[in-house]
Amino acid sequence: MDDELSKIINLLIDNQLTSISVKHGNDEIRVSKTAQPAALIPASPVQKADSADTTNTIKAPGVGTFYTSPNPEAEPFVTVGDLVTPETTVGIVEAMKMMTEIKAGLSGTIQEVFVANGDNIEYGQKLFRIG
Amino acid sequence: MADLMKKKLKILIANRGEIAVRIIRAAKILGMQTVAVYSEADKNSLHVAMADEAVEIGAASAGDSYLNIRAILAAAEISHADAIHPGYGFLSENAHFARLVEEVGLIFIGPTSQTIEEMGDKEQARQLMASAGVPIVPGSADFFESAEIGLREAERIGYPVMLKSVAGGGGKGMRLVSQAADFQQLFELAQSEIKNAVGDGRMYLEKLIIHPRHIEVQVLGDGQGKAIALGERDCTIQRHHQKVIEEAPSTKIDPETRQEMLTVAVHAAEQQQYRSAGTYEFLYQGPGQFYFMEMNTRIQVEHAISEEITGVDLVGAQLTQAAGGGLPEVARDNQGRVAIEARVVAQTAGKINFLHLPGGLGIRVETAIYPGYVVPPNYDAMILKIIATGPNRVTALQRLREAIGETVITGLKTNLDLLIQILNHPDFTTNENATDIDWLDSILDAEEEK
Repeated sequence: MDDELSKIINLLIDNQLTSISVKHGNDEIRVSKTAQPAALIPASPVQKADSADTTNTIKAPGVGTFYTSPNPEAEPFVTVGDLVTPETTVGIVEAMKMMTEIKAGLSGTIQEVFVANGDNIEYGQKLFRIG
Repeated sequence: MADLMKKKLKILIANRGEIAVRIIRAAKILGMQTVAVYSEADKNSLHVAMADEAVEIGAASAGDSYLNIRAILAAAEISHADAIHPGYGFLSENAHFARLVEEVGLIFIGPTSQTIEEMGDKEQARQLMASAGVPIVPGSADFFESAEIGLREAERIGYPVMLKSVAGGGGKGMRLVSQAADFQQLFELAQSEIKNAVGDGRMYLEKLIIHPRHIEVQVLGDGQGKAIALGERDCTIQRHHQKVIEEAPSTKIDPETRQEMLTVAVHAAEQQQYRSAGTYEFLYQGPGQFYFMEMNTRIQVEHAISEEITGVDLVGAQLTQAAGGGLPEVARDNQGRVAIEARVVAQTAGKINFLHLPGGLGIRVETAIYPGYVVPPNYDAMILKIIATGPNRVTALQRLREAIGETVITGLKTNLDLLIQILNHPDFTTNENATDIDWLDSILDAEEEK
């Protein structure tokens, strides 16, 4: 059966068909290929991977270096499982020797942390997922 | 030459659109690394795709992004950029920005913050130029409040004169005086008008320059007292003070005056110890009659036409100089080459569906648009520059006409039709070139009235 299937698949490909069906008595094999639409216009130069859900994420308010804690010795502001309100400080972004606190801006529980201490972040970058 | 680039600089381009593409291209040719910055609205921009790295710096509005000094310096910090090229517009002539760049130890690709500050103040610039031997628009020696002093000054300057008030704006306290006999009455009218409005009766005079051409000189300085000129540009075709078509060289100035303008500009640049690219703008009224208007202490939109006739990569020269190199060699003779640029402007925002750009001998395009690109509404409307070069003006014009005629942009409205109109108008095309800086406005205003 495998041999026959290979042959059928090869026939399909070699002759640029979209489907073949072969019937032997009560047995039927049907092989089909999903149509590939031709690219009519080139893809736009930048294809930024668009994550599905951005509504419950805390995003970077600016550019700089991200810190998880108020100082190197301290515990992180927040970890997975913590409850946050809009005024909760969730991190610090540093640029040009100036530290700016990042506020959660929404309420919920930290589900996921996307950045590590010392990472470079840019405006709009996803920092935390809230659930 | 090889050890010119002792250090491969990493350049952050603090701009967007076609000039960002231009700078990135020039940097790549020189083997330099590039960092693009972009707003939320520019995620799919060409300059972002072309640069080695890109940092999103803020929301769509210019204030949140391309004018956001803090975000741009932060982007330079995290990307470890060595230098910032500000392009034109945005922060390119912001002395505060230039100073901050210097303070954080980065190279600002342009003049010093001090130069930017000096030339950004119109009055200070005039004084500086006057002391460097550059002719400035004749004006009254000081402010005055009596008609007698005004009359004396007007005689000295020569009629016609514009009588203006120090506190004025929007035409208040301003009168055109064509002859001495009218002075007293017009002075009294103007002064009482502004005095009643704001209580400040100080007046001054400026010579009225009639039907001037806008002639500007491109310079490059090494910041240490040496400067070169790369010819002049004629930017007389303007709509509401916005340049539409520029050409190099100017066909309307005699060789003696041209030489004088170039010499005066180079001398001023050397006196100022000017660094990087800059342009001295003049109003030209006739042989020997030219007056300094202002200086643009940055690379300009129309720099490409000077590049075409001289063969010098101006942006590349800026980058080379920032990396420690010297000024480029410029040939004395451009062998009659003429380059003309047309600025294509989007009149609506929108998505570009179909795009065909022209080509052929002597045709150059500078743009950041591509099929499928969405032109955002937040920024400057110019989307494309088409530059035609030829061995003489007639050929350059023919090539530009053909190139514009061939260009197709669908999905939004552009000024392509207007450009064709100008390029076919006898005032513009003939050697007489009977245009001045009010010409395009008067033609279009007359049409609108019909």
